[in-house]
Amino acid sequence: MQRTLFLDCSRVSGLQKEDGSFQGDEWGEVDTRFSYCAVSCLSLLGRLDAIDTAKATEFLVRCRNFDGAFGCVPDAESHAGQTFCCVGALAILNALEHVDAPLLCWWLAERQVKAGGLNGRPEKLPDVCYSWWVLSALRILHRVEWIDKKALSSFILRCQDPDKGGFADRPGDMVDIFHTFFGLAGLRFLGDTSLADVDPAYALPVPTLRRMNIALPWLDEEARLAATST
Amino acid sequence: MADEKPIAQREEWADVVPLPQDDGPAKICAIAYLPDFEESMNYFRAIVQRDERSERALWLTERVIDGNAANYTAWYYRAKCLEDLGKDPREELKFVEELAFDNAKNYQVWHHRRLMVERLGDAADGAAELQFTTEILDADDDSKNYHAWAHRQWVLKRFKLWEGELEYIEQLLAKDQRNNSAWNQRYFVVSNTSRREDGSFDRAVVEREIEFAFKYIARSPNNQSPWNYLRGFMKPLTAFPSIVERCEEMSKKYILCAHVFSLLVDVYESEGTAESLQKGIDTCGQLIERADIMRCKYWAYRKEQLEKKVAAL
Repeated sequence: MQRTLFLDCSRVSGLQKEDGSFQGDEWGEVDTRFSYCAVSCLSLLGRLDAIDTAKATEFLVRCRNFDGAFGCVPDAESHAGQTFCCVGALAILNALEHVDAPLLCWWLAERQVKAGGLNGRPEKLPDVCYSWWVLSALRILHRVEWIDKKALSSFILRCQDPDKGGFADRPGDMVDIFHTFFGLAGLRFLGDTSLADVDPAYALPVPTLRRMNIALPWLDEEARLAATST
Repeated sequence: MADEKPIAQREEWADVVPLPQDDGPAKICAIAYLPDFEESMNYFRAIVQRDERSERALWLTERVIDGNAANYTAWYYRAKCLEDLGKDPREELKFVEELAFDNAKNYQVWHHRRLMVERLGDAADGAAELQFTTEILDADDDSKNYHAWAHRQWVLKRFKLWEGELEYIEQLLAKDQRNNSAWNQRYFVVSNTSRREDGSFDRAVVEREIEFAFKYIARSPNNQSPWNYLRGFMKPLTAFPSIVERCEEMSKKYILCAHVFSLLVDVYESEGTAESLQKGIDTCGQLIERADIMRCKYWAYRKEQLEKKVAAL
């Protein structure tokens, strides 16, 4: 039995501002996180036409810093979480030409610290959630190889609580669902194929997206690159 | 904050029928709410449904926020009540301030604060806002609080309070030169106060900022932040031969410092001559073998790119 989902897309498109940015809701907070959410959900519904995609892209580009990474609003400090949001959104918008991939992926690779984990900004502590924010961006841009995969894998596994089973932000801390998801997705990106594949832009299972006929050009390109390198 | 007496026992709420949460027919992962949290939310839903913006509604939003400071619906509803009741945003700023220290990494607290400042318009005290972020950044080792810095940037731009900011940043760097947020802030200030009409920087500004970065590099070559900062100003990379010399000197002493070698690779690649490209290739080798083993695949890629350039000469 099919259920038709109807979404009044103006609820989302109505949140886009003059400069292309998105508010989270009527309250008015602007952040590239909301650009990502708007672009992702409308894309899944096949309704990117409901927003001004050129202006949305323009705003994201304004949030790009000289190091190639992105912040929450223009001039804000480069941050791996915000970078995922911008790279993911630009990927879905088919606008990755605005990303200086070698420069950004170098910044992303530099998130890896001696202990093997990834941080979100220079000189900060590693956290398992960055296994998602950093790794997904690297995967979209085809450069996961630029980090030490084994070291990161070990770090993620050290964050698992052997009694409770879940993952924490760093070894010894309390586990939660958030970090468990990011830890698992990170392990998948690092090559553990016992886990289902997760799309790096949508953060949804790949088989689901394929079944919905959602275009995943970054994965198609990944497959093409893998084929030509062998 | 909110006292203990259940709302259901309060006379002034007798006319309101609490609205329970509708989780639908199949409760997946039902949250084990505490009774007083659930009660506050049930009454809040009832109030929102009738769009009542009274004193008791305002009181209720505080109770809901106390239960979950991230409830953006409650914050937004509170903002609407404050407006309708004609409340003084300055009083609300005091309320937010108390909450902010315990919830410094909460998006909603910061946005609400900004809303109140915006409501004050010309009566807003920019200096007080700046002081508030200073106190947050000073509290509890929180000098890298991303929200505080975003708010501070907004305040600086809105009220044009640029004077004194560079000194403040230097104070922070004196406490912790690895504070990347402070480095970003310096770039923000210099960018907003020292650009030419065409968006470029004066050579004098460029040299000043590079010297500033090197002051900290000299103290701690492994600190990533000043090396990143340099890149914002070393444009083009080939225009700074004295910097290259300094780095080449450092590379002999700090043989495990990836940052030194990394900058040299970029400079050599930019120079593009046969000799420079070869130096670049050799430097990549040093990174692969010693200085940045973790990212050896990246350096292998860079080395390959340089070799292609040599072949193309």
